[in-house]
Amino acid sequence: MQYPRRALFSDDILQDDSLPCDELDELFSQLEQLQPPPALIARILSTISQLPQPERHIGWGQWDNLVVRREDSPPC
Amino acid sequence: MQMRERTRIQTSEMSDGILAQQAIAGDQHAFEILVQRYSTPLFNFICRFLGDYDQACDILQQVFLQLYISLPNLRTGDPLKAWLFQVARNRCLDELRRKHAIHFSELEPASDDDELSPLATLPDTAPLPEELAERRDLQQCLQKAIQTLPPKFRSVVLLRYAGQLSFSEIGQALKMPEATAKTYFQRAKPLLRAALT
Repeated sequence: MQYPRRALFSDDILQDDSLPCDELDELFSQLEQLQPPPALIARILSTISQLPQPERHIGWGQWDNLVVRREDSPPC
Repeated sequence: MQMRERTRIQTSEMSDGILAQQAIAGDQHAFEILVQRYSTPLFNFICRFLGDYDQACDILQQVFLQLYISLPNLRTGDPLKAWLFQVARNRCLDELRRKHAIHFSELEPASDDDELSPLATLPDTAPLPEELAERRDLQQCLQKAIQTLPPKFRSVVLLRYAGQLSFSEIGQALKMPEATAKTYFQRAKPLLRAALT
């Protein structure tokens, strides 16, 4: 059975890699790319667009409540 | 209209550093390009590291929010890609600590209980049911093999296979020499082989 090959190692990666590819690399090249849900990307961009321009030395903690946690949401 | 489209295409081909500078200057589109560029490899890495789709969504939000607020403080000479994966990996480790409240050396391989994980039920483009099942089995096997690795090996393997980073970038992301990243990768391979047999 043929699996679609994924572009795992791009040219720029190969240039600085001295390790030869083996059958394990070949096998894991079939690892599927997991796509983030489009709604998540839209939400990230929407959140960011509402934020003021970032300034130097702002702590991470004060922004943490901006993250909408799916684990706290009902299953969809 | 064509001019705007051409500008957008040119922007999408810009280096991370230029996009970051434009984002700092208030160019929202530049930040969007960075999100589009790295959302899939980051999500892939996070999701496979944690083995949890919903948690991966949370962490991905955190990574990009952290990028946004950190932009002015990032050193322009450092590669953004490695920085993003470093943040993602640190957030994953935080999440594992928070969830399990045990030391990483005590983490055990994933059990068979995760057979219904969203990772295992991903939509497949293969039309034939047998192929579908075979591909799903393969993805399950690969994911389970990754989950058996100790976290330090798992990071390197996932940065390589899921994040598609070079060993140089892996070294930067994990704050270790490139040679060490290669060594970890090579040491992880027998463990992966054993888990797959």
